[in-house]
Amino acid sequence: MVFKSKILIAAAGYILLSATVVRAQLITGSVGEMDEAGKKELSLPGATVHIAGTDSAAVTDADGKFSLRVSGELPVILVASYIGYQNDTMQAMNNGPIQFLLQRAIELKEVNVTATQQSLGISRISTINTEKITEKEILKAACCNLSESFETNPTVNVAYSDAVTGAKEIQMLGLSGIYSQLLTENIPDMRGIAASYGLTFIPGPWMESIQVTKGTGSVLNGYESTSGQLNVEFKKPQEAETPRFYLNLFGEANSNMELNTFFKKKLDDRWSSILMLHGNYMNRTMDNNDDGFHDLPHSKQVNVYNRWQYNSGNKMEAQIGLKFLADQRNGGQIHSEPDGQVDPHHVYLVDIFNRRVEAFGKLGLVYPEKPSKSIGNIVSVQYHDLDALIGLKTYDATEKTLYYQSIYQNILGTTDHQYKTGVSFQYDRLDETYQSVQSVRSRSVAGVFVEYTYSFLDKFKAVAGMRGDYNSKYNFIFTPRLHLKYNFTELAIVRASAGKSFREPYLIADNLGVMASSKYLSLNSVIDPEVAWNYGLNYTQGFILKDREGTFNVDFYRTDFTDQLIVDRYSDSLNVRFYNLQGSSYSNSFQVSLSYEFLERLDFRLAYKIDDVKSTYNGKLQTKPLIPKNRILFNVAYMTANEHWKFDGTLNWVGTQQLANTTTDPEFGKMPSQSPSYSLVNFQVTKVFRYFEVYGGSENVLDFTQEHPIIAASAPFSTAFDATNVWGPIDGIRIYAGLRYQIK
Amino acid sequence: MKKLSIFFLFLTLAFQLQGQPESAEVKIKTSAICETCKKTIEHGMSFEKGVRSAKLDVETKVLSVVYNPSKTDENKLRVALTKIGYDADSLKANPKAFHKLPECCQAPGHH
Repeated sequence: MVFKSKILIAAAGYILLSATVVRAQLITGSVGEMDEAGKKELSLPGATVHIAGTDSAAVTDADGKFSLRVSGELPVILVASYIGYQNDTMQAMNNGPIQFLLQRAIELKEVNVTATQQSLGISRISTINTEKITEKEILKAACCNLSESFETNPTVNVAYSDAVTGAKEIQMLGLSGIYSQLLTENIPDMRGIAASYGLTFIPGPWMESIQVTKGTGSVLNGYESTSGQLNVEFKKPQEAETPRFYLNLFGEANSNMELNTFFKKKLDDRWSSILMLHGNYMNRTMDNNDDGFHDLPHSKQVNVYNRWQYNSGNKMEAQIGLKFLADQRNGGQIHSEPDGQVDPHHVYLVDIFNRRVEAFGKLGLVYPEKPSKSIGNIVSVQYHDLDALIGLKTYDATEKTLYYQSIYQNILGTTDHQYKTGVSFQYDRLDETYQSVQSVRSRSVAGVFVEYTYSFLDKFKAVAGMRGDYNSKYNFIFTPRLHLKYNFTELAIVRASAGKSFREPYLIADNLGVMASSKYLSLNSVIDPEVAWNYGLNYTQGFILKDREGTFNVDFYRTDFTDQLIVDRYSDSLNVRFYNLQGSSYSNSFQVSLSYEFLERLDFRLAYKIDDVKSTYNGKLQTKPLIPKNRILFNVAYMTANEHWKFDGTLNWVGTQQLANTTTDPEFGKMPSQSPSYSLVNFQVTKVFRYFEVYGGSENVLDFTQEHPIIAASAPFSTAFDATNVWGPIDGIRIYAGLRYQIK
Repeated sequence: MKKLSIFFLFLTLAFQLQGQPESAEVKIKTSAICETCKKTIEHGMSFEKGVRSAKLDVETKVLSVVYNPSKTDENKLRVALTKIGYDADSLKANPKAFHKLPECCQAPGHH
């Protein structure tokens, strides 16, 4: 009887409600993955399939097949999960069969069966060309901050901005760091006046990974990124991988000492917290090139970061964080008295003081019954104070920033159509005094954005984004960006991207290094915002040779500026002239790289890069100074089978660079117009013990230095003085050793 | 160039550390559940006497240990694994060690 009535109900339901809504159904299907070649489907036995929002679940059998009873109405959302794979969601409109094809989780993607992790993985899943620099790679650098984390990465280069302040800047696609956007956990960070030293304000041991996005970025984070995006992820209190206690001590032969430590505390099932500390101290006076100037300024830094994470279990995640930083650098001409007692008209002083406070909050809501739906909110306030004395030039600035962003994420019908949309607001107030001339700039920018992702099987993906912002000075700004990806096979991927960017330059703060010369900074017109288009094409071919993984990658990026602030160091021997671009300005960047585990646990990486960067200076198209046209990077890493010893060596070959020296002072002569090419070699050895590890190494082993980084060093107050033509290392060989201890 | 050759000397040295004679391999079923367990087990086992390498496959929970049979044997390795806090085939994990494991590795249902 019961049996009969069930059939009756089912039949009635079927007729009345057609195929879309049916009661008490048995859904069948399978869970699998594509094999490495992307040709054959392999079944995944033991995977879990559950109905979103319910306790109904089934486990796949030996053939990867499942059957699942649904008590309610169709359609239902099914979620398939398997350890090491990304969850996948599908809508069951009828009783199937539903076929799941899971992708390996991004973090685990680089873990192959022999458990070697490619530390510089170019993601094969992401539509946007993104490299992930893992902790393993970060540890290869001597120590201790973001500016040193790219030594084994061909995409991002780091250069000193001048010979006296110790400030470093990154370059992507041959363009200055101001054109790439720095994010910390998706919050725009170290912008504006914080940018020139910002890289040294993010300690290495705090970082979990860095994602380097080449070319135009996502529209979610604003209109600013032109050449790329760097997103830093810090160690998270809620993650099991984060040790409960961590200590890193580091010392250098030049007496630089650093301390990094953090404490993680899980308060209960919901709350956890981490407190991170960093300090460094360098007080030795070095003048290897005998020019009377410090090769590196003395430096002190205290850096504190505390954050709290809350997880309600299934619905809500929240975070709050507080950062505090103080950093002081003293350099310039070597003298014995304290800086305060010296007349800056007789001794060339460099005193730079940075103070920064940052607070942020994040609130994320997820819907257990609808796994693809979520809402994320970020609010961040930043205060930065920079006081700089460089020779006779002074620059004091304070910047206050408020940032809010809210993102809503969902699917349209199936996971083939995903979208993110939201609003953002940024308030920025800059108070600056350059050579006793005061100015104030305050901006409010309110934006809306939408980003739509379309997936066609595992073959094709498109991410189309656009944002509209209302800027309190420049009114409406429209920013479109597009990313495409096509998989010929799972291992052969082609990507293309195009996007627009908009940025308001910081006349002085963007060019702090230029202050280190006796030239006047001269500005004759109203500065316009910078607008650029970036186009990129990338091909990635993964391969497996003798059971070991390798990747071949080739890409080309073009950046075209329609508006740009030109910093002209060519045209005038007494002035650095600032004016708006009239004519063309572009960067062409070509890069080819190959990485392969040549022998078991012996990894090679070889990369070659060409950067062709030109701007119109005074009506004439000329090569941008101090950008190497050619670069080669060669990295070898080896570890023993028991992983107790790790060896790493890197060779960087840097090609010739155009110099912008216009000194005509007969005493100092005319300098060459091009720098020589040179090589930098670094190596590091790590010994792992049961409870701690020690490491040591050397940077710039060949002890190469630029011979005369400062022009007219003996006459710092003459018109010939110029410390801005820096094309190579100033400080020579560095030798270091360190210790890491952690409690899991 | 001289300095460059020192750098390559380190690499050659590293290779020579490898050339060892006899070795045996054992596969042990463990109670590992996640990547953190994998790290804990591989790190801990690699410091056991006679062990040349230890690799865990998280999906199958099988640990493969390559070792020098003149210095240790399969049973000693299983006991060593229980002292790290994991089941080794039929041997149960040492409860004290188990409770010291990172939280995510102390799966409910065990002990």
